[in-house]
Parts: sequence; C-alpha cells; structure tokens
Amino acid sequence: MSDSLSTRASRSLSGTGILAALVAVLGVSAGCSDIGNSSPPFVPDLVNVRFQERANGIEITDEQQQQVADILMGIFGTPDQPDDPFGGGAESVLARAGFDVDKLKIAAGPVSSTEEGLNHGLYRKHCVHCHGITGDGAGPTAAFLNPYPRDYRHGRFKFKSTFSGAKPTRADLKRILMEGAPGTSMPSFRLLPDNEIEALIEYVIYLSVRGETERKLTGLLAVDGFLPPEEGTIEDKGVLVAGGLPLAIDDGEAEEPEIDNIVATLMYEWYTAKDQVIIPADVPPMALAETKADYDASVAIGRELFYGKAANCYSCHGDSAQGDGQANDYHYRFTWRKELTGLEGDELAEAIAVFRESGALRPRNAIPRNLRHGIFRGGRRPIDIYYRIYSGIYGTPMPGLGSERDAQAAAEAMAENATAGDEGDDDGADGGVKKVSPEDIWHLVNYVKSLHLEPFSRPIEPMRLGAAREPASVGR
Amino acid sequence: MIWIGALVTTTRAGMAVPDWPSTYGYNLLLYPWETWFFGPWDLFIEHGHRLFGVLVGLLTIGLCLGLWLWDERGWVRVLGLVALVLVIAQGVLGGLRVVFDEVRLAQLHGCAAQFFFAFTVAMAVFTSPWWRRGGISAATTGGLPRIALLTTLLVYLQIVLGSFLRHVHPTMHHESFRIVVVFHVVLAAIVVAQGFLLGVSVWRSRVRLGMSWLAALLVTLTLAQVAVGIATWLWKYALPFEALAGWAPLNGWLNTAGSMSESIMATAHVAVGALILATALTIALRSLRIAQLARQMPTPLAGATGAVA
Repeated sequence: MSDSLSTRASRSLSGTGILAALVAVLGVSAGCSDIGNSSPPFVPDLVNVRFQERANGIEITDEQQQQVADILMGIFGTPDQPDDPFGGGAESVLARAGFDVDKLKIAAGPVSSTEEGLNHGLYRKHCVHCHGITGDGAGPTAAFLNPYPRDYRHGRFKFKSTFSGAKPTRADLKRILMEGAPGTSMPSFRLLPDNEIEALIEYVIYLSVRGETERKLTGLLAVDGFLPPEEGTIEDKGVLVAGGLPLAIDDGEAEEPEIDNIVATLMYEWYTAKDQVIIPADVPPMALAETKADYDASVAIGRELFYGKAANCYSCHGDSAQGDGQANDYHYRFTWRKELTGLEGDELAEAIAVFRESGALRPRNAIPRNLRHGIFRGGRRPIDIYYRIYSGIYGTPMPGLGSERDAQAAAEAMAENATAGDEGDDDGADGGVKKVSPEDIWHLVNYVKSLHLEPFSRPIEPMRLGAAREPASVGR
Repeated sequence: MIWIGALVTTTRAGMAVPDWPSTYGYNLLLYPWETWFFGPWDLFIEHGHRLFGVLVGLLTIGLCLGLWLWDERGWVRVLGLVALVLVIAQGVLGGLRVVFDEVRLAQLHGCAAQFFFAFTVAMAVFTSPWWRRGGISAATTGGLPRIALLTTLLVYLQIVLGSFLRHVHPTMHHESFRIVVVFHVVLAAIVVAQGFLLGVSVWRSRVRLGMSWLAALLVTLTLAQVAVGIATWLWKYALPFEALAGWAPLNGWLNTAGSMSESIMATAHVAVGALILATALTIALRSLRIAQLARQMPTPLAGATGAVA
C-alpha cells in the first residue's frame, strides 16, 4: 500500500466516520426533548389515544387529554413528587389509596443519596432506562431489547403465582427483582438491600395503577365522550376516579368499590392478589418421581400430554419443542394491531407509522419459547413451571391449562378487571383455560424440565463448551 | 482521574454529595476523612473524585509554574496557562453538574475531561526530551500526520457518541438511543480500520522507529476496546440471550445490577477510550513534528534516507 493510497483510504474512512458521528450527534440532539430538563414529566399514553380514536371512530381532543392529565396529576403527582405535588400538605390521596408513601418517596425522584448511605431515586437509577419514566416499557434502551421491557400500564404481569386475570402478589414482583428474568435483559437486583427492593415494588405498583387509570379514563372518553361526573370540576372528577378511599384492605372483608372508582378498584385488585394465588393440588412433584422409574413414567405421560389434543402444547412450541410452531401471534401490548387487520402494503405501513409516531415500539410477534434450552424466564423451579402451565402467561398467547373451576375463577377475575372503555383481553390469549388435571400438569412440568437433557437438545453444548473444557483440544 | 470519574457515572454516584464546592457543608479538604473513607461506597467515589480533582488542579498549577520557570518557549508557557484555565473550567463544570443535577452537564463534564486529558498528553509530548532534541532527524512522513490527526478526531467523536450512551436522560426517545448505538458501532468499525491504517502507515514510513510501539499500542487498544465494548453491553443487557444465559461459566456473572464486574467493564471502556485518544494524539503530534523538521531541512536528503538520530 503506498502512502498516497493509505492517505486516500484514511480520508474516505475519516470522512465517513466524521459524517456518521455528526449525523448521529445532530440527529440525537434534534430528537432530544430532554436537554435542560432535569424533572422529566410522565408521558401521556398517546398510543392508546390513537387506538381508541380509530377503534371508536371519534376524536379525543387535546382539551380532553388535558383533563385526563389533570386528574392523574391530582391523584398521582409527578415523577419527582408523587405525593402532594402542589406542596399544600393536603391529605395524601395515595396514602388513602393504600400506598406506602414513604416507600414511594424513596423510589421516586432524581438519583441521590445521603451521607448515611440512604439511596433515593431508585427507579431512575435502576429501571428507567428500560421501563421508561412512565413505566411504559419504552425507555431509551427498549428498542434493542428482546423481549421488550414490561409495560406496567396494562397492569398485566407475566410471571406470577396467581390466576390468569389476577394481579401478581408482592412476593411475585420481589422474586423477579431478586432473580431477574433469565434469558432476557432483566437483571437480578439481588445486591440491593431489602428496603430498596420493597420501595421499587411499591413504585412499580404505583406506576401500574397510574397507567391503568389513564387507560381506563381514555376508554371512558372514547365511549362516553366525557369523564364522569358529566358536570363538575376536575377535582370532582378526580374524587370520583379515586373513589371510595380508603379501602378497608387489612380486614379482608372490604367491599368491592364501585366500578367508576377506578383507583379504588385497581388497588382492590392489587391487595386481594394474595387471595388469588394458585394452590398446587395435593400431588407434589416429587411424589410423582420418587424413583427413577417413577420419574421416567411421569416424563412419558408428560410427553403424551404435550403432543395431545387437551394440552396442545406442540401447536405453538412445535413438534421439536424448540418454539417453532405458530409464529404469527402478538403480545398483548400490541393490541393496536387489531387496527391493522386486513391492511397491506402502504396502507399497513401508514397505519403502523401512526402508532409508532405516538411512541409505540415496532410490533413484534410473540415467538413461543424454545423449551430445549432449559432456561425459563419466570424461574426454573417446578412450581414456577407449574404456574406457567396452570394459568398461562398473562398478556401473551400462552393459555393456561388449569381446571374448569379455576377457569371459571380466572374468567370472573378477568371480567372484574375489564371496565368500561378498556379493550378487554386479547383474543386467543389468557382466556383459553383448558381442562387438564393438576396431576397431569405436574407430569408436563417433569417433561418440560427434562427436555434440555435429551440428546436432541445437546448437540450445540459440546461444540460450545467442549473446546474450553477439553484439554486435549488445546494441545500440549 | 478519568477512571474515577467514569466510576462516578457507572455507579450513579454523581449526587452522593449534594452540595458544591463544599462537601456536606465542610470545606472540601476538611471533610472528615474517616466519614469519607469508611462511608457509603458512592460517597467514597464522589468525594474521592473531588479530592483527586484538587490534586490534578494542583499538579496543573505546578506544571504552569514549572513551564514559566524552566521552559523558554513562549508558546509552551501559554499552553500551560491554557491548561490551567481548562482544569478550572472542568472543575466548575463538575460543580455545576451537581448544583443543577443536570445529566447533560454531566455529559459535557465527561467529554471535557477527555479533552483536557488529551491536552495534558499533548503537553507531555511538547515538553518531552524527544520533542526538544528535535525528535528523530527529519524524514518524510507522507500522509501520516493527516491520518493520525483524523484518527484522533474520529476517536474523540466516538467518545462524544459514547457519552450519549453513558448519560442517558430518562425521557430520551428509544429511537434516539437506537441511532446512537448504531452509529457508535459503525464508528467503532471505522476507528478500528483507521487504527490499522495508521499502524500500516507508521510501519511503511521510514520514521517508524520513533513510533512503531505507539502504532502497535494503538492497534492493540482499539481491538481491546471493541472487546470491552461488547463485554460492557453483555454485562448490562445479556445479549444474545439464549446463547449466553445457558453458558455455564457466565451464570451468576452476567446481568446482575450493580455488580463489580459490570462496573469494571463499563468503566474500563471509558478509560481505554482515553488511552486510545492519547495514543493517536501522540502519534499525530510526533509525526507533525517530524514533518515540521523535514520542512526546515535545507536539502531533501531525508526523504531518501529516513535516517534515525
């Protein structure tokens, strides 16, 4: 290579590099609404506004959206100051709703710490870059992550111990914070002290209730054209939306709030989640497999179920259980895809663009899990897999196989969950609870857990690990 | 200093001390050392960063005085003053980042730190015996100075791009973040190619004896930086999920928020970036010096011989 050649190559490389860097910096700077803004606001759910507008053929005006924002502000405050945002020392609506305001204050606001080592702004320190300031699962890093981060605003959580339509318990949220979600970008926060974990759980519930309230208010606007009460100030409306507080949540005999009392209704769901926990049937997993022969027999039954009509696992997870069955369904969060049905080509691209301009992430299909990796996002304990099979994975096309009685309970829970204006549950998802006995579910658990041990699952492992572990291959 | 500053960002310790220029009401230098040393980790890092900043400031004052006393070159003395102004500005910028708790000021503080570091590296080159004795004797450098300068500029731009990924504002749009990541990766590839090109240019030019080790260092650092960059992403976001989550040696290592390994990876990525900048700049300045001497030579003999002093 002559000097002139290398110089020319260098120039063209540098020119490309400098241009690329400048384009990126300028592009990002132009797209940054955040410069000079240390107190980020909650972001309105414009995707839901667009969805409701298209679904109901109406327009939700800016003024109406402002009404929703005002009500939310009155109840939930701001990201920096969730409680008493106007500083008037008014009685805390959040405390009356059942939130632990002290925990919320630790998790909210900008990142800081005291001389004694007490940390504040935990959500912004640990969560916001993926889950977003509003908990919409569309934080800065979200576009790169697969699966996308959870959108708390739907109030639907995937990995939990409760029936399909129910909220998770606090223990469920704690578990995923401590363990992370293996096979995803959700890390483990096991290094955090317990008080910080508890504060984060409280804040996630707060964001979820706030987001669901917003979605339901937008739904009411779309259906009724106004927010009840029809007449009255924002404060009047806010009182009704918060409604019926405080709940007598500790005595276990609280009456369910009126359905218009959205916040009270949602808090009731959260605080009664512990009553919705699935209690495994009398057959514990090890009772099925006290000996090797028992275990093999259990796995064989599980296999039959896997490929049988009742459980029908193979139709999605594939004949090979590698997740190569159906691949066209969507996660619940892309409910707005219903608006795309029947569209093709430019029309489809245009419709998607409307939602993406409103802040939506690119829609992705819900690809069934490859069960042969032995990696389970919701945990690898037998009971975790039991919960997944029993009640499905809420917000995804994965249905539950629990008993008919439990299916009825789940359906009731879902009916309670859906209030006026909400679009309800995804078609084909969550609700398809079938009749498989708890004992059979344990057989399926054993089979699913055995899959990664089958020779068919392992060809890649020796190739990947063998070179590092086999001294002979290194040579001496 | 760059390492500690990067650690402040990695551990989000920037607001561990809420006031400035004081530390919890104390004069910075009089803050009880045992409260600092045995205190919370982020207080240790942040206050330590401030104390280190004082040290760097004092060293810069010493540099400035030393140049006025012992360096007869006027332009070098002026550069010493500029360094003093820069270090003061950098300290104030760091303080304002605390006073306003503003992420963009933190980002600016980080980018300015790399600029100041590069400036001090330049001062080290200017005041080195190599420079003062005229480097190696004059020789043709071809396009080397130009390539080296462009490489330096590209590396700095890459650092600026990286700062957008380090100082992420809570409301940064996910598409903006995506743009930065894509361009950061593209520019990384360009910088690596440019680093190789620079290495080849040094090895092919007849002045390589003065800089071959620098060229080798640059190539090594850029490759290491790519590896550390990938590791930084993996430790934070665990991609590609399936392959890594099942890779036994990494179980329990990857994807634990706030883990020491995650902190080290992210911080090292910033620090190695600073080293690459310093190396590329040193090659650029040295090759410029050689080219300057070549121009001052009365006869063009050097081009033919490339003789070494």
